Amino acid sequence: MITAPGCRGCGVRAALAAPALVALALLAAALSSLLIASIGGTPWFQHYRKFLGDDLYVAYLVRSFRVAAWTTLVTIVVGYAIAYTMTQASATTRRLIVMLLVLQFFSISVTRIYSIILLLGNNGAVNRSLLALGVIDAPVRLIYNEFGVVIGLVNASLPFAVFPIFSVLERVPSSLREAAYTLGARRARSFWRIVFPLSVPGVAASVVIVFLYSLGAFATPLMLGGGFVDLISVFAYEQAINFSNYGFAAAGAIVSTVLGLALVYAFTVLIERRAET
Amino acid sequence: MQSSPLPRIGRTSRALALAGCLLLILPQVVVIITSIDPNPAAIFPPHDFSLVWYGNAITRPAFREALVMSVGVASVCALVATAIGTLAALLVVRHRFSGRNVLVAALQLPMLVPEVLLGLGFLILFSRIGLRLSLVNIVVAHVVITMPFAVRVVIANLQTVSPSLEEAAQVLGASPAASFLRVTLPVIRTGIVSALIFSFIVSFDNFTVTAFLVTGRGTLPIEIYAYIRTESDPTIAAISTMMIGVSVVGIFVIDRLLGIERLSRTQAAH
Repeated sequence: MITAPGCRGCGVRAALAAPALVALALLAAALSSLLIASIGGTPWFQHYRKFLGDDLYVAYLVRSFRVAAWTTLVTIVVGYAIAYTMTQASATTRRLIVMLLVLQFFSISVTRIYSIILLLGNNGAVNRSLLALGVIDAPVRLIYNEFGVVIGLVNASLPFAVFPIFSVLERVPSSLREAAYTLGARRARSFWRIVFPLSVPGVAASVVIVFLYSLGAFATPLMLGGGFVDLISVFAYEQAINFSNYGFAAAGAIVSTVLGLALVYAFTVLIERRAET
Repeated sequence: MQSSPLPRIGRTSRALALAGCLLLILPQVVVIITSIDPNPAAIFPPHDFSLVWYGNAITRPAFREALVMSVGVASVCALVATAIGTLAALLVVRHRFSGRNVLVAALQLPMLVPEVLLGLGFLILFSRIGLRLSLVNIVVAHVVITMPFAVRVVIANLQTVSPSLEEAAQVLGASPAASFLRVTLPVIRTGIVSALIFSFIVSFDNFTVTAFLVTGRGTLPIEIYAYIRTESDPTIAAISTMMIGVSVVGIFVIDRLLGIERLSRTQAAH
């Protein structure tokens, strides 16, 4: 590009960067089209006003954040338990769990969600087994409600929680735990006072990833919500595809993303403050 | 809590871990069992054995065309994204320049933007510029989505290779191009192959962005979703089982190349 004297290697650098910059320019073009569509129309910001001024639409927002919060809570607790088990398990068990999580990570999301329908649906394996055992008289509704969406999202996001938490737990020097034991701390106390504080960075990272992932998830609420749990992503899809209402769809998706990022930012600042004190 | 803290904590967390693992494994087990149930209503557990749904999955033209489309899109996307990613990785690992950190952060950006925003953004962009080529649009969007994965994998690999190898080759008289082709490329081969596999999988799996851009025939995930909406027989269970098989083979290949345990650690590094 620029081959001025004194800029040796500039041409090489430009050539290496050019393809990636084209891809990033496409990303920027897509995101700015989205922003412009959401703001545009007459009068300006009408889509945002319509979205935020109607309880029906705000309900999508509330539902999305509620589902994302539950998903994050359950995923972190269960993910922590799995990661903790991994630190104490035999090499074989640990490898097996890693394989299971990696398989989960690499499985095709649509078929993974379908498998959950087969497991938890009204005619699914769980309901059939409970009916056969006489535990229940009629199928229990486990999916096509918020519970089902949360279960599906937990299933999808467990790898995002286990791996970061496992890696910080693994770095906790066992001498610290032993020292606590020697000093007479009970296991629960030594966990909450020593192990857990040291694992906070891993937990915080997982919270951010899982929360943002479940807030933006689309296939899971679409398939496991069954039309009863319309989250913001499903709203955006329906507005855009069924009604060609691009601006309105964009406004809803942007409001949700910005709110989500603001929450995550506040959470990160809070964690860092606590780490400093 | 105070009276017997040791076993209770241990039991509860072990029970939680077990529940989590069951949540991961039970759907896979049930889908495999359901795939051999000849009953179209698929009432668990099956009382008979049949491969009829495998036959249906394989012979159905819609699925075959969707598979061809998915493999085509994912292959093109993997090649392009890995090429872009390798060049960008070489730039940020081997060169020092102002704005380098900004570029490294920007290269990860597509991974951080929610997919619905990407899908909707590309839909609006393509409709504004009047580009109505479903397949091209999907490939372009997939390249942007998968590029961060390719960049990250190649950067991680490149960082383990000392630049002195290339310098040595150049001191010995190799041109920069030759030293790249004969020295650098072979040593980062693992990274490039991993980047190809990663971006292929990310593209092959993609549902959200594709759903926004697809018109007419769709990729495999789109056609699977369409089938689930209208039919209730276990054809998709057969497809899912075959997919699990492919994933298991793929994981063994990646394990051989990279080591799964190492993968779980690099995962944690970001």
